[in-house]
Amino acid sequence: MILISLFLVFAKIGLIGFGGGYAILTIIQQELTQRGWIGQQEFANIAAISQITPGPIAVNAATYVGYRIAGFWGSFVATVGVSLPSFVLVILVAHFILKFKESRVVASCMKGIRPVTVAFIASAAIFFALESFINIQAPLFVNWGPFVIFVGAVLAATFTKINVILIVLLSMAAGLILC
Amino acid sequence: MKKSKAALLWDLFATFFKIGAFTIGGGLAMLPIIEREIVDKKQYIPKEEIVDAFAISQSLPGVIAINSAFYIGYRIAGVAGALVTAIGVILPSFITILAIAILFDTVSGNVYVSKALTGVKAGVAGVIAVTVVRLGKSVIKDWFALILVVLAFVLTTWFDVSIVIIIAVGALAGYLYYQVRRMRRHDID
Repeated sequence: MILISLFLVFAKIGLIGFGGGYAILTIIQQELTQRGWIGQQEFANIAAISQITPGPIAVNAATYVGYRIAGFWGSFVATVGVSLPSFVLVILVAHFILKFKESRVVASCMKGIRPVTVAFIASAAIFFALESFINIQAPLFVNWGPFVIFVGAVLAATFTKINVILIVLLSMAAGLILC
Repeated sequence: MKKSKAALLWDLFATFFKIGAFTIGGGLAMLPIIEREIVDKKQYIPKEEIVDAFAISQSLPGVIAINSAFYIGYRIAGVAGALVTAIGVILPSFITILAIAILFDTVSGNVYVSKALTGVKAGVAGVIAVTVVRLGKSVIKDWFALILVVLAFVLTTWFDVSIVIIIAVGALAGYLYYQVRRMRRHDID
């Protein structure tokens, strides 16, 4: 049953999804493209759309992919699936909060997991770069329009206090002109 | 005067629905808004506790905004509270994305949509790259962390190694490294 496998795959993503939205994007992409559920380009589109619509990126991705694969109920089970592991974990931890916070085992495991999630986020950056300005046929030649937008976004996010959402919206407007 | 449980649950739902509807850009953008609504405006829980909530939400797997919603809802009104806050925070994005998924086929061939999305992807690549550098500065403090970052990056990007394995190896490496370091420190003392 496609609904059951959708649910299980997204529950798995919820269970191993350390490091927040951008890191989870890499995890979702690996799970979905390996199964052939969604192509690279379409995944890049929905990941881009998640950035300019309300709500957490991972939930947006779950809802969209679920719908594409199995309609309304697909989006429903994928969204519930990605949230359910947290429900159990958070309530367990909220119940035993002091022990979790003070646990040396948890703290030292997290020191190994955190660098790994940084790598996942870096991988998400590469993914978006490949889908916008890096030309895979000729990697030395970038697509100039999107590349200019990329550089602009890096400069804006590094040297100004412009809100990230505004940077993304400006990139969208620039895309209409430059891409 | 104490509110009835139903009124409290409704209020929690409405508050988190609003938070879900008005934060664009993912979970981390939501945290300051959750804090303003829950601590400053409604005074449901004290500030120290929201700091705990955010720290725990980020160390557990899963969507950070949903983890926070579950945690805060549970603290305020038990399991029912956790359910209504999570549904509240998810519902706006669920409805929006469902509408987009239904409509996307009709607009995906449109050249302007595709130009705009290419712009978004390029901009997001830039924003994420800056996030990586910022996070990297705070996370990579020793050789151990640097090796883990590089190894995990190479394995996910070019070798498609399963992420479950990479996370498990990271956790195990962290556990062993810090246990050994602790033991060494005891030896020196």
